[in-house]
Amino acid sequence: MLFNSFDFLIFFPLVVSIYFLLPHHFRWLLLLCASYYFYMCWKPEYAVLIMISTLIDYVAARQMEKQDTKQGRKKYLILSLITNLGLLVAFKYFNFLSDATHQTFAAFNIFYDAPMFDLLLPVGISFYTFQTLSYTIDVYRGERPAEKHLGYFALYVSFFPQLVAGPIERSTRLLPQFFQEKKYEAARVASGLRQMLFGLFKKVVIADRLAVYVDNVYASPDDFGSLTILIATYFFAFQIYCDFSGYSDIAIGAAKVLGYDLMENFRRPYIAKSISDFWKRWHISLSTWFRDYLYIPLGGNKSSKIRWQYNVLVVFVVSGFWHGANWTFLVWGGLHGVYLLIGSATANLRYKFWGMLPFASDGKVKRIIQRVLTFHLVLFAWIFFRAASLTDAGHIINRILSLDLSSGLSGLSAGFASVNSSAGPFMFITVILAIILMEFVQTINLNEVERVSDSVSANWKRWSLDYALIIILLLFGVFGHSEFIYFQF
Amino acid sequence: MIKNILKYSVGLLATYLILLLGLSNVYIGDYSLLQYAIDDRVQPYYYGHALQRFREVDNYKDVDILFIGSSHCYQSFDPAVFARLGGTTFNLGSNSQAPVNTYYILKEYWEQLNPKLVIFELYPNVIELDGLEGYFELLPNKRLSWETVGMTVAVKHPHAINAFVSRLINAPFRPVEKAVQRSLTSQEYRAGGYVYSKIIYPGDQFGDKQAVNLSEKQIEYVHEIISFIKEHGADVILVSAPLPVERVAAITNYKETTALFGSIAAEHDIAYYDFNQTIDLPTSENFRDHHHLNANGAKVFSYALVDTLLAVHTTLENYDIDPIHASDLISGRAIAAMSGGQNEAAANDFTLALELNSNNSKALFNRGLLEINNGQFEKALNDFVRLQLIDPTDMRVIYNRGVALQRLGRLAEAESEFNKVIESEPSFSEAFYSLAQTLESGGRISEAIKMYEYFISRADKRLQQLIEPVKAHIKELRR
Repeated sequence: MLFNSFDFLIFFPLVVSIYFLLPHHFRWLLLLCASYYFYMCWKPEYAVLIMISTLIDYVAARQMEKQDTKQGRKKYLILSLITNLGLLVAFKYFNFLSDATHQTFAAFNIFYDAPMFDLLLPVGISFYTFQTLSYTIDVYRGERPAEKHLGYFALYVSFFPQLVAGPIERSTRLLPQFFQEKKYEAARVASGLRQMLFGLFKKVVIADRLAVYVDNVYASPDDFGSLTILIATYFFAFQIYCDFSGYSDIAIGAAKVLGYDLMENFRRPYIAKSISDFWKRWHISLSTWFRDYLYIPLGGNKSSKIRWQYNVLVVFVVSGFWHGANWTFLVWGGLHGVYLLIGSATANLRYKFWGMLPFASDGKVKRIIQRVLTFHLVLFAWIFFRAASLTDAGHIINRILSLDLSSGLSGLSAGFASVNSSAGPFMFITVILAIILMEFVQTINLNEVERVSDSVSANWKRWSLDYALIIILLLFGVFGHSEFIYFQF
Repeated sequence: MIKNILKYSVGLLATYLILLLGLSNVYIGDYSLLQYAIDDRVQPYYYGHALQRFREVDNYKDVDILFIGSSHCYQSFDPAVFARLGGTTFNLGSNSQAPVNTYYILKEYWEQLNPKLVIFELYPNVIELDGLEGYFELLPNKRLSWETVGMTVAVKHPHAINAFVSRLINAPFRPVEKAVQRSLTSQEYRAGGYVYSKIIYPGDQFGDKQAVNLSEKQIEYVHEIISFIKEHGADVILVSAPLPVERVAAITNYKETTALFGSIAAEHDIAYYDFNQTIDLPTSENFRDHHHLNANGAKVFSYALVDTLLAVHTTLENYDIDPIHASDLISGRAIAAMSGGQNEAAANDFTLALELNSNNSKALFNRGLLEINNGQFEKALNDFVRLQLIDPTDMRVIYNRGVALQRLGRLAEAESEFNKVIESEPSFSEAFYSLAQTLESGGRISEAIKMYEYFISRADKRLQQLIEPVKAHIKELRR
């Protein structure tokens, strides 16, 4: 089921209503059933995979607790890792690895008939697999006890607001919340609904409108001039941000309505002043997961410089691979790793450089330059993320650098041309205004407005903003049941 | 809290309505700002002639055949062809009309039109739509009703609600009753809902090769529509109108798609006809664009559909289709086939025409001639005997009966028939010739020569070419 669908519009209020009517000790069952129903709306049989992960990890963690030695715990950790990563490899990476093996053999003139499976990628498999893995690793490390209640644990793995695209929650944070009795609080519900509304706005008004432009241009870059391709690349940066952070907002908002706090997943990443700052703001639940379960175990910062560089590169390449079984994602991840290493290597040089510039003493100018540079480094990497192949990415870069400006200013809205030539400029202006509105909302911080609860002016501001978002959503939204980009990961 | 919720809701609603009113009345080019916002690219009162169609339908009651479906519907069923069957027809097709739209249109007009047969047109690319485009086409062009409300909800799209509310609040300022159809030179609206166009598609673009992804929702509505019609006691058939062969080839899963339509029909025990598999229409003559028939194609297709209806639906009286007209129609086509040398097709059509009307003398007569040409003299004799019973005074019948008898060697009977013709109609010069041949076959040479000479003296212009050979033949006989 999609958050941006009529079905969810019925499903969610129904679940919330029943939830608050039920006594606390039945609520986990309702949420568990609702979560499985939510997931099974895509492909019912794939719910079995979640059940397998849940059962194996439940049993593995319980068994771990009974072991006296680390060695004893380790074998159950391995069981969990093999099961979860095995499912992930089988459904997500098998064809890619098989093809890569085939290509490698072919390079040595050895014929190898690589097997390929026509399997549909289970929605959200990377998310729930990582979530449940973090639980078994935490139990293995002794950071939390094994959960005894299978129902609560199953709910932790499948909790519908964040099941298919995160935030990837830690058991230490989410599981205890299921045991707490949640009371209906109007302010909290309103706040959750407001966050869901903002998420929907980002997804339906901005991301899906930008998708029309980006998809057109990236499907046939030769039909467009450099300006249009460049605009499409900028648009993609905002599309993926609005799509993914929009999903996170809806997920966090929906959980909030039910009384649960999910972790923040985005913190205005495009105002980051450096790449390391960007990763503290982008997909926070994943970057912290990699930090805690891969980077630190590899040695983290507490190692030699070469080892540290190796650790950084490994984490980012693996992060790229997590996103998809394609060389483009590996390059995207690798690029971010390289950015970080170059950033670290040039830190002193940059410090001196800024010191030499007279205007840099004004922190504002420096900040703007840093933000613009960081944004464009991220933007360059997005080309690889969006392109269907490395060849396509190279072609896109070539087309941008060819400086083909023959289309003039009409190139700005050319990506909308296939929809309706006369609507192109209108759509272009609409989407730019929507992005400005989004930035405005993020700047003023909705929560701040909410805190000033009872004053007339606060009400006026809050309601005006609500009205603007709801009406723009209704009138300018693109409603075509388009899935969220991160569902494919 | 309730007071706050109420205030909040009223404020929201008021803001929404004011904005909607403003956006729907500011135009850039052909479209209002609202249309740009909601991706409504339909210009009302224009291409589909829906305004005229939904005005005209108010004058119709109790029709025999109702056509319903997409733009392929109102451009494919030529009412002139169906009119020759007798009874009344109406076409309620409209642009991009998906089954969810069709369902509510049918519900709205059912009681008034009360059709005996519904011909439900299915175009694969429309069955994959969500129904929003079809809704945008219907909404401004027809009166509002509860079925419109139903359709708005069923389309399940926020922009359908926006468009509906906009239509509602603009109704006092822009009533549909005062709307004027914009003129078009490329096509013409004909009574009964049909749109006639003589354009011939010169292009070579037939759309990208891709599979149709049928919407489950629309398929459900196809089932709903069939059930609705059957529950109301009418008959229904599913039809896919002809497309250019290139367009069919561009739909990579065309066979699977039409097989699904066939299985839906079978499930409901009704017929489905895919005319892309039964008639072959050259693209260069029969299409106005890469997928719609032009007037010529519509005519040929309508004849083919009538033929199919007549062949399959034997109880034609159920539809008030006049079998005598139908029989005439079919025999006319058979005569055309006969003159084109398509004897087998002609024979089948004559038989069909005579099944519909055993007294169709035109069919009987021409079938007799065809049988003589085919050497089936006994059959020809039977047909001419039947014709004599219908009209004993028709000399052409008596003459051809004589010809059949002569070919069967029954010379005395043949001679008698030719004599009857000569006595009643001395200008019937072929009778002298045939009588002469009969006498010659019987060895009565001098009498034969005399008749040949009579023939020469009476032969009209049509038979002038025979005079010289007959003269030469007389000379040979005299030797």
